[in-house]
Amino acid sequence: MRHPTDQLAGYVAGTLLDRDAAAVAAHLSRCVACRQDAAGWRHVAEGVRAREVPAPVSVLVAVRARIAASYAGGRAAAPPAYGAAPGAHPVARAVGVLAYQWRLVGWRVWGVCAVVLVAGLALAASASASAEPVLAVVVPLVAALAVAGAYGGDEPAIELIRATPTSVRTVLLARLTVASGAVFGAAAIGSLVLSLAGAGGAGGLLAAWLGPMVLLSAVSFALSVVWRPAVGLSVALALWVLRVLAASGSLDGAVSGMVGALWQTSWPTLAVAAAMLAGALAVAPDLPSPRVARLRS
Amino acid sequence: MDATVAEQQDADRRLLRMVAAGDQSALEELYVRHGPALLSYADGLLSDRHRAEEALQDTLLAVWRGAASFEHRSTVRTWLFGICRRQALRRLADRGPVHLPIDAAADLAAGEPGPEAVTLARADARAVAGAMAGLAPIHREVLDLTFGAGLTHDETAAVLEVPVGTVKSRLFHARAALARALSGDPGDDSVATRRRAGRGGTR
Repeated sequence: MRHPTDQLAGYVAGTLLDRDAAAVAAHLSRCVACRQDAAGWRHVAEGVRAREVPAPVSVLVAVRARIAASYAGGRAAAPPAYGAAPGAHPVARAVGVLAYQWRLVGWRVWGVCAVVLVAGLALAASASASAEPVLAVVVPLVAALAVAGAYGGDEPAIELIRATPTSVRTVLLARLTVASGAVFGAAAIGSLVLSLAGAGGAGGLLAAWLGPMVLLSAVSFALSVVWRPAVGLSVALALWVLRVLAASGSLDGAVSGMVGALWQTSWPTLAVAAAMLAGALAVAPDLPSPRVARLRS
Repeated sequence: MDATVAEQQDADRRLLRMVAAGDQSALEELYVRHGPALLSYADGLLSDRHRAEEALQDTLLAVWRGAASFEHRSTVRTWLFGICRRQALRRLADRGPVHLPIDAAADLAAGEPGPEAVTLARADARAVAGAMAGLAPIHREVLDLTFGAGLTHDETAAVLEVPVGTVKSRLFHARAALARALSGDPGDDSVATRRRAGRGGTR
């Protein structure tokens, strides 16, 4: 006879699958030895359960206090205050929300963006290249990178929790502001320096990259929110590659013209970008939670 | 698994989602549902009620901060016990090197019930609970996870990060040690293993 000896503990614990439990029960009905064995396990189980005591409320009280303390301490690892936005004054609140986002965007993202941007500016400043086309290619790429990177922070587990007290829309908007704002600021300063160095008019340099930067940021943002950062970045990169190919004359006239039309600081480009941002923000709170959770991976 | 087990697991997942969204009352509900088994488990590992309560606090805080990282690869209960184990072992490590005895090298040959089943059948729950206090932590925890927490052998294996076969053999060793403690027999695991293996039998 085949004894289900190593299933008896699970049988007594009640954790076997229904089918296995039925087979064991059938065996027990005709095997005295196994019945005795099972009775032994049952006594063990009763002994284990007899050691259990009600979980004391004091543990909960201590945990509540520790959660509250971790908010009050303002440490980097602590989530923002439960149920309240940081700061009461509107300006303080805005600064607080933006500061949280700043921390959440991983330092690697900032590092990569800074390196690419500085390299681009250096290339634009070099005598051999004309500044405007270089900036038009480099700055939008950096912006798309920063915006997509803002959704894949260094500490995925904690991010959502840190961000929860503020509405999803506000958080997304704040993160977009931080990521693209930083790139905009750096690129604007770079353009100003280039223009002072005689590379061209400041307005012309700014116009060369502002429109495409807004468009690529919007594409990257919308797809990162609705789908995932990798998709946002990939599509933005695809647009960027098209633009590079068009500039090198490898595309046929029609496609090249379309890409060129997008790559301008013009009302249609800005309107398309604004529509994408608005759409992503509109649907963001209604996305199912696993999908929101996936924004971080 | 009957329907009520599945319902319990659904309720756990729902609560954890609420915790991830910042709902403290959901965390407290999870504590009410799993606190007793978790505390008993931590107590078994640390042999100190006060430290066990601290480890339980750490566990709840870790759940509060990490609820969003739960990946549905296990049941919530298994996940909770895994966190609890890490927190308890961390506290154990604070006090000095961890000495969890390794398993006896020989795997137990499962055969007909041994004499310890008879010894155990005579003991009442209070006596068994008392004898548990004298077990090695590695044996107490496998009993706690199987019968206290009600985890399957697979889930227990996941929490302990050992193969399922090891869970089964630890269970047998734990029961043999319990029976020895109850009968006052000072024998050790290797003797028990030889006694069992000598009888042979089929699995």
